[in-house]
Amino acid sequence: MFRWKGIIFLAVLIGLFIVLGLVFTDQWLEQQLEKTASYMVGARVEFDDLDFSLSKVRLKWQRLQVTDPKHTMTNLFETGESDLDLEFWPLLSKKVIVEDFRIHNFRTSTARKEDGRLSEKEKHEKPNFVIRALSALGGRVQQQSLSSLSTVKKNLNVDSLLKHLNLQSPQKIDSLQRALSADYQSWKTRFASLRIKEDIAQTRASLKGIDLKKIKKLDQLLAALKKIDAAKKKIKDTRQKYMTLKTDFEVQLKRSKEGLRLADDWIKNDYKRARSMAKLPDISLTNIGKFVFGPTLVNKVQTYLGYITTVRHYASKLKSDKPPKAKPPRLKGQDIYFYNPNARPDWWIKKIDLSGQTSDGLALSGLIQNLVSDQRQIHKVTKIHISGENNRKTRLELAGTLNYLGVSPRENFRLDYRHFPLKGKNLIRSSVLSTTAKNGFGKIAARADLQGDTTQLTIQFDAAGLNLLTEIKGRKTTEIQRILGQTIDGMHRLDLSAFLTILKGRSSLKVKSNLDRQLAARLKSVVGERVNKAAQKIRKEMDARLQPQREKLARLISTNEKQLKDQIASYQQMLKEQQSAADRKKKEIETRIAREKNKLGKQLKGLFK
Amino acid sequence: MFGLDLLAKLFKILRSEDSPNKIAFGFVMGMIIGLTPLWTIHNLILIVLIVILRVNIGASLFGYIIFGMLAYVLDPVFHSFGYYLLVDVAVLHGFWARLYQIPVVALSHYNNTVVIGSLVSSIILFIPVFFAMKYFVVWYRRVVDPKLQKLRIVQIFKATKFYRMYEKIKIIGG
Repeated sequence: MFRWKGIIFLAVLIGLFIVLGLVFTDQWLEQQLEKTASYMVGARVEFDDLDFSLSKVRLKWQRLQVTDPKHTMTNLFETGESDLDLEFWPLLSKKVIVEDFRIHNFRTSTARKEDGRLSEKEKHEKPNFVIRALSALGGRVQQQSLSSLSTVKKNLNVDSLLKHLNLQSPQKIDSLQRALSADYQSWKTRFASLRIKEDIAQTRASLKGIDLKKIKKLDQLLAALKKIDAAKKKIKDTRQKYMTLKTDFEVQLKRSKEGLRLADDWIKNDYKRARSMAKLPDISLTNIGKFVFGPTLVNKVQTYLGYITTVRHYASKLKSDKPPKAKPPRLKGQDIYFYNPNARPDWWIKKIDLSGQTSDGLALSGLIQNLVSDQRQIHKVTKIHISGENNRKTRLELAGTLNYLGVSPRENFRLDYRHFPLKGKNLIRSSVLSTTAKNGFGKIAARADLQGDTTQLTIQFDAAGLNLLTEIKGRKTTEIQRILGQTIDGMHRLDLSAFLTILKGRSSLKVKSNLDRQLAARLKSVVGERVNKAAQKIRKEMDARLQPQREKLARLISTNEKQLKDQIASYQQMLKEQQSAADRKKKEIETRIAREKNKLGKQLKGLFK
Repeated sequence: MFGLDLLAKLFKILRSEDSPNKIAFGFVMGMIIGLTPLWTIHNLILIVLIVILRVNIGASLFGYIIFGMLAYVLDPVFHSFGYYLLVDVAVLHGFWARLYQIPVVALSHYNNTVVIGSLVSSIILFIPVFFAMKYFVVWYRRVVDPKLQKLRIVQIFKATKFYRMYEKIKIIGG
């Protein structure tokens, strides 16, 4: 039954496999971990000297570098020697349970020797609601940035602008006009085919034919009454037709009105697009903060919220009871996760002890608890607490909670960073100028609350003892750049409050700062006038092109509507007249019939006397 | 050449001295390996069984090649069937969830739609294919092979330069 040669071959093969395993496991594991982590982060993750000991069930490495996906020559963070103790038996159930994870020499924003960018093939985008909403906000904020102020042209070439804009309203108005013309034509046909006028004429003739003066006898009166009743019935039927026509026509009237409103919207939209293409900024007191700090703020927020939502992406991936059917590559299939409340999670790092320093040299220590694949299985939320301080009174505290126990995921973070030196820090960075602090200390208090698809973020930044140096960019200094530079450099204190809200995919950013008032007046006097002139020029040219068409449409609607409305009113009038004529005649006949009956009654009484 | 090689392999298996049972058993084992993704625990067990048991290894290889090609074509069907078993059949959810917690079983990757879809399909096919193959071997040996060997065309073909060359190439190519 057994093939002994086969058994020997297998034994040799297993032996070889064990030997190769001992030699290459670390290398293989390092590659696998790097590949998976890079895929999750979106930039290269590298382990140095990874060592896995099966006998001690321990994993350790000498160095870990996680590239910042936005600046791939910088590490988001890197660690020194780190090790983690694993539980053995869960590994056989494909579960990774880490009792203790010790990270030493944790450092942020360290320089990389090699670019950590992933190739296009390796990249894996995970668009989520925050990134989507913030990308849109980023676009809007970019339009209202310092560079947009300096690009407002004195002499705007509206012709060329409108040529490139490809106005959409003329075409739309044209097709609406054609549709309405067809509608009116069909209404006219319907009016004619209903023959209301003819019906009324027929009734009128039949009523006219009843000459009461010529009628002498009772039976003639009764016959006339019958004719009148028939005429009245005809009037009733015609009225019914008229009423249906009138009701339907009212719908048409509404449609025409709506059409006109739509045309106005299309024109408005074209105007908005033209303004946006001309890059005309909206300078108001509330917008100055956005102009100056908006792009930098949105960029930073996008980065940090991006990390949070990546965590959420992987945490909620396992929550779906009925995962949607995917279209995996051939022979790969789709992995289905089975939630079991009584089982241990797929992976669980119970505790991460962290020690290290920031790029400013601030000594850090932190504790992260219960980082887990599915919080519902341990009934605990993930808690993060990192703090640090130095003898120069600089203090940092970051606390956060990731809560995926409920139906909608919740994350909240609180950052308190006090008395940190600003020397050498780039406070404003744009394509037109760059401001660096020569001196000063800053304080940041930030709070981020994410629940479901709602995000609220508040940032309060205060800087004191400032000495700023602004460097103007570009070959030629513009007046706007000069004003900006002067105002910013004259500041010794800066306070900034930013409020960011994302609600159902829509984001809004409000920025207030003490720079607003100082800049607003000066900028308005220079840029405001230029913006207004350019806007007026665009409006005038667009009106010249679009208004005639809009008026033509309005004329078409009003002419046809008037014509049809008049016709309806004339029908109503005719029907009313015929109705009252019929009623009058009927009453007269009925009176005469009553009189005749009386006469006959008296005659009968005379006979029996 | 691949098709011819495959046909030659089949004839070699059918005319080997192994019993129809061994050939059929080897063939169905190869079928499971071919239909399901290769790097799974059950395939490892099957490979071990093929090596240590006296089944026809050639038949296993033949089954693997034939059903391996078929698996590529049937992949969307296996994915849909696997998704149906893992997700749509609510009665089985508890079973899968319990299975997921059993050591080693969890490593078998059964929670993958293609793995479970193709594995269940091959288990369903196991007995019918086994008996069909067994019957085919018996029938071939009893009815077809004697007739085939007597056929003039086979004898002529075997005597041709082309066949001799093919035999040589086969030997050189291993």
